[in-house]
Amino acid sequence: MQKDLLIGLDIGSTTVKAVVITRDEKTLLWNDYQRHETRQREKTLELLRRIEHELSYNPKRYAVFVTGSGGSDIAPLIGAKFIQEVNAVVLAVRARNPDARSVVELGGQDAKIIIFKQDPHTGSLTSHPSMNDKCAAGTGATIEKIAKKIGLSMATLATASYYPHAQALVNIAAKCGVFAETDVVGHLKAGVPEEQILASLFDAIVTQNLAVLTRGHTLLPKVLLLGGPNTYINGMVEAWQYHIHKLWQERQVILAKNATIEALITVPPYSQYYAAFGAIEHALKEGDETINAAAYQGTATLAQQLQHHPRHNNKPNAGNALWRNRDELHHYLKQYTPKPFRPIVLSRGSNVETFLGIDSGSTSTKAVLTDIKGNVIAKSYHLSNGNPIQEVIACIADLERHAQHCGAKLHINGVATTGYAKEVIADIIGADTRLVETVAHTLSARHLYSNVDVIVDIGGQDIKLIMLKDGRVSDFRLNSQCSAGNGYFLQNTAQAFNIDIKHYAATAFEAQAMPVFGYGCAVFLQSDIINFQKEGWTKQEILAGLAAVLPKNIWLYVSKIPNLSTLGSTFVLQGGTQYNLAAVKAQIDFIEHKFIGTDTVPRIIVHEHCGEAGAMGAALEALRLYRNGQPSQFIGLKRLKRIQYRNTRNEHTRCHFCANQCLRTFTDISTDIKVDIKPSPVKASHITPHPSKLTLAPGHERIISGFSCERGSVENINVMRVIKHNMDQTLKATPNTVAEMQCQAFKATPVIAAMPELAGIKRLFAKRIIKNTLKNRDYRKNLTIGIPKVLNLYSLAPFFMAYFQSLGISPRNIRFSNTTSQQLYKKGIKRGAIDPCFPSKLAIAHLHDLLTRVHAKKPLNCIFFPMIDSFPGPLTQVSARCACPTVTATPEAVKAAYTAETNLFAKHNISYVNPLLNLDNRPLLRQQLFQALQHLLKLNRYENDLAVSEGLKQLEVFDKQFRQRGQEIIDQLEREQQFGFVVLARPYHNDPGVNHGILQQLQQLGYPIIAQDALPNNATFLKKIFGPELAQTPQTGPMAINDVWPTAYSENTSRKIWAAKIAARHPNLVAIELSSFKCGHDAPAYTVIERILAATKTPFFTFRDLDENSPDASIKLRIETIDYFLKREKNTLLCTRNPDFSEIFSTQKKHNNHLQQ
Amino acid sequence: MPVPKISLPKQLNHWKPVSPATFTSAQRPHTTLLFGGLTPAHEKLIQGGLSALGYHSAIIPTPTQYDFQTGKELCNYGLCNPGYFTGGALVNYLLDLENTGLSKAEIIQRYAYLTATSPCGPCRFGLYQNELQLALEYSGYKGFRVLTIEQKPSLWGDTRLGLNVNSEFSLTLLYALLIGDLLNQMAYTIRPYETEPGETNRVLMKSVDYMSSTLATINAFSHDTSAHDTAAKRKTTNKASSKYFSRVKLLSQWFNFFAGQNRKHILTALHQVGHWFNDIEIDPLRLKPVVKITGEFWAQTTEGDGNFKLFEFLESEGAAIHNEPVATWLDYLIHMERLKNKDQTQLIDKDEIRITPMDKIKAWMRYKKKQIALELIQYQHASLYNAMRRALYNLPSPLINQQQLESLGHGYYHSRARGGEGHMEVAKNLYYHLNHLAHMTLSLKPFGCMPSTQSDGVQIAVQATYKNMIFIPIETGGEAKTSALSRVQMALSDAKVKANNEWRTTLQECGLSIETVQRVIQQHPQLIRPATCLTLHHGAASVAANLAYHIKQILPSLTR
Repeated sequence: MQKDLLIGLDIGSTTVKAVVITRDEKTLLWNDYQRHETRQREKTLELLRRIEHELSYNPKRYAVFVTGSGGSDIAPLIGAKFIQEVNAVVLAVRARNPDARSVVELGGQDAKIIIFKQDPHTGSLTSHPSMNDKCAAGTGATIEKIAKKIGLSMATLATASYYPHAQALVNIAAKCGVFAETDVVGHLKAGVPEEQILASLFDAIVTQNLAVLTRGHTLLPKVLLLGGPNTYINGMVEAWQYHIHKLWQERQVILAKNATIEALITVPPYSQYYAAFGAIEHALKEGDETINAAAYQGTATLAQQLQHHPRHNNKPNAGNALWRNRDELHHYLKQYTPKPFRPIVLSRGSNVETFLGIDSGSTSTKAVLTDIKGNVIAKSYHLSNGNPIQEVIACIADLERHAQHCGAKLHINGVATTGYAKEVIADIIGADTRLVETVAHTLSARHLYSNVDVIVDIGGQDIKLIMLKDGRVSDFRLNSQCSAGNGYFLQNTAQAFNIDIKHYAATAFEAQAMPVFGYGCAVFLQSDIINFQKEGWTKQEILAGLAAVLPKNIWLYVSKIPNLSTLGSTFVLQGGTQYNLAAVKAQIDFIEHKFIGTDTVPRIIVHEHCGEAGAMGAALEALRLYRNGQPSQFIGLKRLKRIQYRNTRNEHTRCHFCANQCLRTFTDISTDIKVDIKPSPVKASHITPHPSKLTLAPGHERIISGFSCERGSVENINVMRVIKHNMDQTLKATPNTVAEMQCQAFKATPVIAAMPELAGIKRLFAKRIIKNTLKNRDYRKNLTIGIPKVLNLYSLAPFFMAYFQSLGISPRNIRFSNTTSQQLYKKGIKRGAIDPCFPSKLAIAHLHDLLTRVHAKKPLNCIFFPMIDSFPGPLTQVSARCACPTVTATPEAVKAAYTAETNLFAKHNISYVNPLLNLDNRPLLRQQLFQALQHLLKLNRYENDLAVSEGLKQLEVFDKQFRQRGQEIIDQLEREQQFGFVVLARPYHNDPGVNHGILQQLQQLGYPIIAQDALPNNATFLKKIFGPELAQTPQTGPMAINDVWPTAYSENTSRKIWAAKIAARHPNLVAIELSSFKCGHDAPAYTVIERILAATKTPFFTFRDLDENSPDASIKLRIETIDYFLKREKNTLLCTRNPDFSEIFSTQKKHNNHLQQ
Repeated sequence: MPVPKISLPKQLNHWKPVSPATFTSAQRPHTTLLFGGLTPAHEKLIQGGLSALGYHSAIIPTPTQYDFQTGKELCNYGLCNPGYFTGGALVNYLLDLENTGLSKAEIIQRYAYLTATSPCGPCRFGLYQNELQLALEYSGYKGFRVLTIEQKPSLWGDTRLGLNVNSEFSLTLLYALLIGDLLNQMAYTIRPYETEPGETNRVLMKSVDYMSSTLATINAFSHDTSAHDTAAKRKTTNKASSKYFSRVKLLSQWFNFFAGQNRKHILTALHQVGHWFNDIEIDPLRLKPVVKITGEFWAQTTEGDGNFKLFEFLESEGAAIHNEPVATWLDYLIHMERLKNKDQTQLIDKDEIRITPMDKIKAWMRYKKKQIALELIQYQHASLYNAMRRALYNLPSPLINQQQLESLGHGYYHSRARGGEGHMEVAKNLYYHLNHLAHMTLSLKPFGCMPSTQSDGVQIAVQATYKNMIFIPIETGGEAKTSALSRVQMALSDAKVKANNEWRTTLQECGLSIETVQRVIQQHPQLIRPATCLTLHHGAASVAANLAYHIKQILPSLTR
């Protein structure tokens, strides 16, 4: 029978779309778009049955064509032909909208951009498609998750608008769906309105897709917006229109007259069905043979396949269940199912002395009330709805209700706060202290359990591992920004399967087998989930598999400690995630497995208040302060109930006192509540009135939060000046060589002019050469050279400054791009075609800055962006001194990005010069620079050679200057017996936009910062540091690392390792490592550096995976913990690492005791 | 508090890596060298070669997804996938050995791992040895010997004394690599067109076994069992005569390999293999888009989960593959060394340290000698490869001249930038496109591969210039297989359209109909022997189109 009815099915990651079209007239007979909620096969079956039923044609008349990420496996079951989805969309667009030149299709898990380019000669169109490779960030799934997080209904989401908020956006990282959620949580806590968050999310998604998926192309009109999110979410369409239009203006795209933006960037009718249409178009194009080969075979096979689900042993990646046998599971559940908490019944009429701890966390707020012995009287838990103040009030009301129920009266003698919103809450309710989360968790675990070795705290967004020795914190690990392996991911997945998180464990325990997930990034896990669904794994099995991956993420991904038995034997599991018994089972099995082969049996305890451990720790701290005689500042329960406040976070609250431009939250509180606002650093009489952009209502006081530096804590500029002055004083008193190097490297230095002094026979021609040289120097005076302030130029800029200056180029004419900022990055990144590490990606944005801002101020003749292949360096016995290949080749990738569509350098009349340079080989370097610049600078070899020598000389001067500075700082540290941070990092981590201000925050806390290149290397220092070692291993000099790292060829890695050796040998130095995401040269050295430092118990802190996201909250938590740890353990650490200090310290201690007696 | 006196560091125990265990020549008879990481064909041949050299060896099977997870667990976080796959495969192999009843100590004593590192530049590959040691340590095999072919004596001395890396060793491995390359290419060239499914694979296996045993029985090598012995002998005999004899010996070995008995022996065997392959029945009129494979060394070579088994997938989706021989990589390394040496020759004058004219002449002579040697090596390498190709009816593709690759790619990606293929990825894409040798290029790279990612960035400019070029970069690894396969399918659909268009145009240009072509090949079956129709190149990428051009050319003589 002739196939005159064509079914097009698009089976995507979240929805199934179906269309039925007549073959001859292409009339649309039937269409539907349904969410499959991870049941792709069931939904497909349902739609096909409906087609059969509702259209009631003879099934033999149908031919069926399938597309979409879930289509290839289903196609053979119904006799369909499979067509890849991007190709299907291309065909549909060509058939339905031949005037379209660009397509943006957002799906549930994938995003595609297709660009049609017309051959100027033939007029034929070629398509250039690109789609996200593995990460689901920037797609419908992210939008939906975040809408759920905010608590918006689908209807509100659909009508939300972008434009009203386009100018007041908050920062959301769309690069990673998990990071985006972290940001959203932060904004919610800070009181940012939901609509503003949503608009910011739309903006982030558009920017992300434009930066990554356009692969350097410009989306030309007409632009079609396809796929579910573009079809159903108005704000998304507006964001595309806003950004693409802006791009057209920037790139001077000529638009058709009288055409509106809405018409040029549009959502066509049936936009969500384009892939399904395209599948049919493919068949029509291929003709009878293809159509007949795709004869619809009915639903029988598909239905049968669903009934007789293939067993797990046929599937790839199969692992055992979470349990070995039913008995084992039963035993486990008996042992670990938590006993329900029963609040302590208070005596009727009693006045109970209590202590309150509040943990205002990322996903929930918890409060715990203890008695004077530290026993938990009552506790309360509220899931976050984005309003921490309200949640705290509700929690305390719960606790009070309990007392009322018992007929007792609460007398709160002390309050402490912890968690993300600890500062604001403490200010409002008058808490006696604000406790770092890690400390709070440690206190509660130590209080309840003896001989604890490791605390494993798994919260909503954070993973904290705290290692203890003799009851004291000896080390800790926190997840940096990636929350893979946290409870929130499990919760989200359960939600996606329509399972309440409370039933997660029961569901997961139903599985008799489970797929093996690769641990690591949550977006990869998400991708695996789709894959496993395709393979036929059930939701029970997938949930079990995810629970099993949790301990791997904790121990292998976040903390990288495969050898758990070295940490001790008592593990306390706490944090809200530990309520999930499947996750607990997986962790217990993992830990126990790691002890196989040792003589020890681990003792694994689940904290009896695991969800409220932080709040309990805070209450215990309040109790301690009370015992120490500190009177409580708590405002009291009565006044707490009367708190009236208003949160504001918009452009009026933005701080303009520094480049960070933080968007702050103003919480205005009625003044009948006495709030504990930090005393102003200036006397009131000295403050001249300065009007606020946001009027403070009479009878209210204002609490400001959400700032990244202290300047943001006030509105008044005069007060800010005083704060700044104080900050500057701290900074001045606390040296930071990283910041100093960053400033100094790009400054002009006095240099010797490269004038040839000729000898021998050359003297005969000297006059002419010198005359020419002088003439050429005059020519060069007027040349302007732009250099991007990126990558290895942070260490090598002095060479280039001196080189160009020496050749007669005025230092004013050597122009650098701005220091990295979020604004600079966002403005310039859209030409990016690949996704390397952040420092490399930044180069595209810096070039944009040079071409648009710097060039506009004063025209540039040349942009000089050298490809550094090797460095000069002080280390000995290394195999080579290579640069990282990503960094070396960045100038080539940048060149491609700026020349692919139009040669923008030529357009601006700028020469782009990017020579490959070997700075460790002077003769070669001379040749390389001469070949690259001889014409542009009208150079002769003599002056080039002299300029190279001058450059290298200045580089040495720069090096010596900072090593001397480093020596001074170390001398000071020794004198004052303080800690200073040695920064193990690459040169570009000197860029505050790359190090996210981490080092400055440490400096603010009073820790001197020493760059690894500022560590002294003079003979006296080295002799002191290495002492007898030099004699013991004569093959290793003080400047060699061959004793610990035999494969030393990456210069910056070698320097990191050398710096680690120095830090490990000096008691006043602690180490901090900065490393960027995807850094290929840092990764192999992680363990070696850790081991070098661990051997001498040198405190070592890492900030790895740095990229364009600046996870302020996470950074703050880590820095607070580091500070607490170093201050608390200072004497112990100094004693351990310097026996002389130990002796003096004990003498001093005895002396003090004697005085006290 | 009084200021404490700082006297460092007498009491502290500083971390030092465990000194690596040495593999001595005495241990050789009872030690099995494990190796892997290439294709099964290469590995089997290397095993044959090692056997000829007097080593016991065993092959670690092609790494799987499970190995990847093991590697990820045990190596440093953030390493690239080849490290995870190969590291995990080694550990799992040892664990399997343990399951057979051997203790860890016995395994450490009886086995060693042989691998190569990267002398090409600062890519992470050069650090795999450290990663392997880490993975072995974490899995309880501390002290297990990891030997690298390029290894130089370190602080702990020469730890691979039992591995005699001399010219015999290098040349035997070179034979194995080249033969492996060529046999794989034979299979990839013929398999898409075979009429009896599985026939090519059967012939490939038979050929690999045959060539491996041929390599194993080659007996022109002197089994020099101890480097120590040689060194000791040298000390006791007259220095000058020892030097003279060792040079003569070296030259005779080289001659033997490149022009003498060994070469003849191998070429004869390859002729036999060529016959077997040529006997495979094929249907060259199957229209297949030709996909050129390029990318990072390991990702483009492996035939397992390390690249999502993409070669198998591509063939199942109807493509024919041009895989990349390891020989190109060797050629590249020799070429880079030549260029570096050439630089040095030119820079003698530029050295800041003043040297006497005589020293200058000496330096010049030194560099020149090296230059000649390198040129000779490169020539011999290409010549051997081509001779082997000829023995296989020229079915495998020739090595592309490095000079040519350099000139094609340099404008986009500096050819001296180190760290991997860099300019070569760009150049190969251009070479295959401009010479109509493939319909699309698939560049495979592990997640976060440094040079290869930058090369993708550069390809944007290449694609902007050549608008009908189909180029797709794929990051391979443990995750996101579905998405990667989908993206490959996406590009392959375009390549199929391109192949179809090419076929239609060809028929038009030749004035032939499909029926005519079919009739001619029915009447002249010699035209569809692999050695005839798969070696044709008349300016089209697909086999069918080239055959049509060929028929047009020879049709007058056939009809006469």
